[in-house]
Amino acid sequence: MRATRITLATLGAVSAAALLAGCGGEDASTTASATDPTTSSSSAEQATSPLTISDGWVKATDEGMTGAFGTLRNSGEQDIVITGGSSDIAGMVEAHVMTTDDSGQMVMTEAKDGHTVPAGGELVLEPGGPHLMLMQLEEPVVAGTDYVITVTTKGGESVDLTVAGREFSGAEEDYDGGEDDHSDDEHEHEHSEESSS
Amino acid sequence: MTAPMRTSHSWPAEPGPGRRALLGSGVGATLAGGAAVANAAAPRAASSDDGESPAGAGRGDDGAEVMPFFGPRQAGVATPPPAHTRWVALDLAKGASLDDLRRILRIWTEDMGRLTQGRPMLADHAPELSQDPRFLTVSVALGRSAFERVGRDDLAPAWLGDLPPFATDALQDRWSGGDIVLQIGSQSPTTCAHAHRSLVTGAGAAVRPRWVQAGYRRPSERPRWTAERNAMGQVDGTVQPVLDGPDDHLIWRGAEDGIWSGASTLVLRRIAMNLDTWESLDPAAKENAIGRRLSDGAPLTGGGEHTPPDLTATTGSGLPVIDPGSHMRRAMPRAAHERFLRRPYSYEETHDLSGGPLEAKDTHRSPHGLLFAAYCADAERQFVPVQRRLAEQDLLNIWTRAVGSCVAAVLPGVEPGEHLGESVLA
Repeated sequence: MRATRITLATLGAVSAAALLAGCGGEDASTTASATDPTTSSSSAEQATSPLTISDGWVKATDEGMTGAFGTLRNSGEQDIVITGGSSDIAGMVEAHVMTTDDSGQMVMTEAKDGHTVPAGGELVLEPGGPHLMLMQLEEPVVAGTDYVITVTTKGGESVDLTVAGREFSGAEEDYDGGEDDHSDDEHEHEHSEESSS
Repeated sequence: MTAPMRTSHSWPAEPGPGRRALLGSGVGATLAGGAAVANAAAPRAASSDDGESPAGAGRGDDGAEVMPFFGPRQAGVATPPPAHTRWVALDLAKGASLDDLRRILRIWTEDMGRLTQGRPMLADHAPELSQDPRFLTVSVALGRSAFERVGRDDLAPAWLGDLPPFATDALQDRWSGGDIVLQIGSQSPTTCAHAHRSLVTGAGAAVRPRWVQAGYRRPSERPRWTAERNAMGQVDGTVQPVLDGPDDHLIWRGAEDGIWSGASTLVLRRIAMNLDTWESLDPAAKENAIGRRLSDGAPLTGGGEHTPPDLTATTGSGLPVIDPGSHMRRAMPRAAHERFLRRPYSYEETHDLSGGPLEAKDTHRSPHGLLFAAYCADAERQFVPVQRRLAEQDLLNIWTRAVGSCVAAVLPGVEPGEHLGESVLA
């Protein structure tokens, strides 16, 4: 699927920042997506949202569930609380955190209070920390493909966040006790052929 | 090529002698006079007033150890060679499609744009390692087999073909071919290793490792164009085209190539050396074989490293001072287009000290050799005539064998917002 940018305003800001920094890898290089015709509607709708993501990515997997990560930024003057979300590729999207259970083990649980992105600040979603959980995947998450996650805020706002599919060996804690997601070589191979056809 | 092409990857602060353009000292004169040869010094920009890199993106600030990433040509070809470089050949998985190839190149473009600038990739397993680029460049090239693998041979450029066999070849599959060749270079082998692993694992199951060939040059503060001594002790890599100037057409595809403008051809030859037999020679015999002095690389007819040889000079007994079968003499271009850019690296097989590429009749083999990396616009036209001549006669053939060979099209460079291969795989 083609991805849509979060907002055109964000895109411009990110690209400018990247150029100023003398670099400009991911953010600038995905600007091609901005030509996607679906961009215009969502960007118009969300041009005012202070919530953006940079370095967003989602772990590639064949099926089951997966995690999405990146740096959320809130340019607004009020905290933004992400309570959940939705995506075309997943039946369910939840805000998850890592917590320590009674036996001292780190476990994955839904963040009952959601993810708070402080006003004028940022929240880093990363493996082993807070993240967005995509469950009931309806299609494989493929590295090199962009996906859109629409997060819902406590205030009832919906914001599209674009994340790039990436191979990643960590973030396995997401799946403890869950569906069998582990991609062994055989699965990977099948997957490769699947995505070829 | 006359298209206005700004210097895309010229080194910001290349020290050294003046930037005289070497027009007129070229092969034409050699052919006419027969007494002088093209003898450009180590390559340098022909026209770099201030060394500024144009695109503005990717160039490091003072002290930042980064090489530019964006530009019409990929870095890693005409940029100064760093101390460590590895070539990584990958094959596309069975059943891989053009979409898969595009997808991999898209990931790599984004990853390379970050890694070369010292920024972690997305999903970086060791982001700390990514913050020490040490002049990292990564260049991506496609072999003709890549196009065939995805069933789109029609997309392969006409100038991308396999080399013909040469009599002196002892090629092994384990060092040859490859759908995709990544060239990863940095002053730090740690950086090379991290980039290598990150890029290959990032491509997932769509690629399979084929071979890796790693080489080294002398350490230096920054990457630099200097002739290196190979494992035989010879000064190697003296004569080079002029970069970013009149010799561009020798290295790069030009504007007339349309979507392939800014591409190049990588010819990587793995040259195994037999140091056991080489070391049995006395210095004079070694110098005769190469045609240059061991001490400083000067031609046997005198002068310094960059002095043109006098091919007509004879000894008191009437023999040529520079042996007609010497490597230098046989390798010299016979036509102006028989030139190309070289980035040679030495290798040493530390894991495999027995058996190996040389035939039994060559007795003992030492695990040393040369990764002869040549870049040209058209291998058939520029490289093959020289290699054919060397295969016919070259005293160095006694001690060397080509045990690996690979030809791949170095993709055109990218500007921000573009992905490698985007235009040529459309």
